[in-house]
Amino acid sequence: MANQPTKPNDSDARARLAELWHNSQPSVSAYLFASVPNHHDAEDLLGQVAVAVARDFDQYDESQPFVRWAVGIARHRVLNYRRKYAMSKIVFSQETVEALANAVPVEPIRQSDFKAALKLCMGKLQTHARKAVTLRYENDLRPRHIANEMDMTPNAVSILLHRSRKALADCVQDSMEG
Amino acid sequence: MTRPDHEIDAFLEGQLTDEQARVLDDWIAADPANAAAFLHLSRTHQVLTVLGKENLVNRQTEQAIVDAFDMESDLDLLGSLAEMEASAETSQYPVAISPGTGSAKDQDITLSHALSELRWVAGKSANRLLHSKPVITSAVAAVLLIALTLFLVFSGGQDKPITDPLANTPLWDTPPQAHQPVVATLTDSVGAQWRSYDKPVPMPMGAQLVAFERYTLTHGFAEITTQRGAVAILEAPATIELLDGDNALRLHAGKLVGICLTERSKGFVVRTPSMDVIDLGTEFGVHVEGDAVVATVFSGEVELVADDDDIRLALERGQTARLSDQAGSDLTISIEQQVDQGFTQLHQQFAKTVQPLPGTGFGTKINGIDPNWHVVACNDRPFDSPQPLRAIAARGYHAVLPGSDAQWLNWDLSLSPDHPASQLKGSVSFLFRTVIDLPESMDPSQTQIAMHYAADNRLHAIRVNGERIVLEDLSKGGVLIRSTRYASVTEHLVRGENTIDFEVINFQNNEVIDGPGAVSFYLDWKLIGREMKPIDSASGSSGGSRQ
Repeated sequence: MANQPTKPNDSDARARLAELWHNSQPSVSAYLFASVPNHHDAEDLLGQVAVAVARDFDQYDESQPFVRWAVGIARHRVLNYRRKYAMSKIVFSQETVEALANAVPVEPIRQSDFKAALKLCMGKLQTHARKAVTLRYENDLRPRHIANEMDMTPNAVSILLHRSRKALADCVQDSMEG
Repeated sequence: MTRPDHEIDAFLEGQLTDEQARVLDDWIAADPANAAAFLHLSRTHQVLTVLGKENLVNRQTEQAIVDAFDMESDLDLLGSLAEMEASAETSQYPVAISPGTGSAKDQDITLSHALSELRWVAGKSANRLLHSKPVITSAVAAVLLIALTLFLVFSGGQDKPITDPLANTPLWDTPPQAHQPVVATLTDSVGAQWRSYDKPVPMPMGAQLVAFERYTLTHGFAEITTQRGAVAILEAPATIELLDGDNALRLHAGKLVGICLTERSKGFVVRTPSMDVIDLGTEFGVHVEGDAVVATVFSGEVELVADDDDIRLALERGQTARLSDQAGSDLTISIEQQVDQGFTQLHQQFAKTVQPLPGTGFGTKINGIDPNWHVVACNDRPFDSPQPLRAIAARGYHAVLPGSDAQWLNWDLSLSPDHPASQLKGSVSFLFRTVIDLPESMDPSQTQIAMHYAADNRLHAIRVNGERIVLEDLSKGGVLIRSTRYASVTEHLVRGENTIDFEVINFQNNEVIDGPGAVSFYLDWKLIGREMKPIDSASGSSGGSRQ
């Protein structure tokens, strides 16, 4: 049986909402950024989802994982978005939007844990790979500029970045599972 | 279905085309595992972006952040944030401190961190506002205000701190780490002062320089030697960056003299902003000053490569090339039939006579006996006859260095039971001996032995003509298998024959870690035969002091 709906004006409920959202927001954000190719639009959708989550929190059934509920709201927003912009922007199919929503882990990885694992994994990267990743993400350089900095061809930089991202993702996954 | 790596990269970089989107869409929808992998990769990219931005935010001053928001509404937003911060301090939106969850200071940092994150989000959106149409501006501003409201809701009554234990740990300012590949060593200097990334860095003799770090010599002179033995002598001011190879560097600015007299060092490359200088076994100089590059050859020959490989030309002894690559003008190269006089003093007074020495295994076929080396004693008890040493290729856990396939010397400890060494247990010292010749032309008091070494398990000490030399670098170290160390010896050398012993420590009777019991040693070394002396006219004094 579902729990009694939570009252949004209850201070305990607000604290509970803050905690749940803090833990789940990175997963919701990851889902939106994976589902919407336009990153700016994904960012705006995240704001909309946050508002909806706060507004509708009294409808949340605590017997269900919060992240699943929040991602459900996000999924609806993305489907609305793709219906609205299907003719004017690049959007994924409904099947893909659904598949990505189903792929969100029910037990969300805390952002602090993800960051910590990623930092450790960065330390394991080889020097040239770490250099390329640093130039890409801290200095916000494109591959052709990184190529100049690292005395490589732009194509080689793209490959290096691709391999580095893949290695980091695998490393984080391993550390979470380990 | 093959993973569409190219399309995934285009997605992450925000450059997805319609066709790429279709390919990616099909792949994600085809398998739940694909969707999960894509989601995880996307989040990794997202968190990397956040970490990079966090580091930038940490570097910026508060004023710089305010400067970025030059719209009145955004300043109002910041004002709201400041009020929130102040309110938090006065407990209007209290952050409860649970026993055992951290100090009050921790909580302040926590909230401040959360606010700074919101600032970044606000700033990012504000920058977009500046470049957006008014109608979109209003929409985004509304979202921001809602986000602010949400923040107030979420922060109110919160009973657990939002902590990121590594939030303040700098990830991206990583200083050179021990595991970064060492590509060169500081082998001499006079009055040298160094900076790296605008910070002064101590660079003692033997300091190891790693790939992709940028080093600026602000004062004095310095000599670095690459892993393959090429020597680069620098005159301040000069900025170099070592590349991810063992025989190349980038000269961003300043003057350099390169000396490549050994076969292993041949091919040394000095890259400049507009031209590469490739050594073909020579002594040469390179000077980078703004858009101009000068290369001159004292002996031998270099190859110059410029303009994306469209220009390749050989520069011979006594020639100088001057290259100009000013923006908006054609690249020009002129050749002169004389050495550039600007290098003469640096070359004559700082260049040295380099005499290669027979390293371990060099010139010997794999599994062949190296005639230059023997093991002569065990724990200082001489053998009846010197034990031969077999040249081996680097094993999986040994340092692999270029220049020779057979680079380690190996002595198998499978001795007969009556051999004295077989009775020893635990840590045992073995003496690897060779004899070198110091030419009459070289003054022993002005000569040093420079060496890169590695040993299985470790090198303990060096003896020059029976005199034991304890170097701090050698007394430390533990197991030195996977990388080389640098050492320099200047004492007890004489003209003519010199007996050099290396005390290699290993463990006997399989007691510790070395499996079947073999003792191995790697050495790449040379004699350097001229003391560096300051140039009077350049330094303004005749003294100078070695670091």
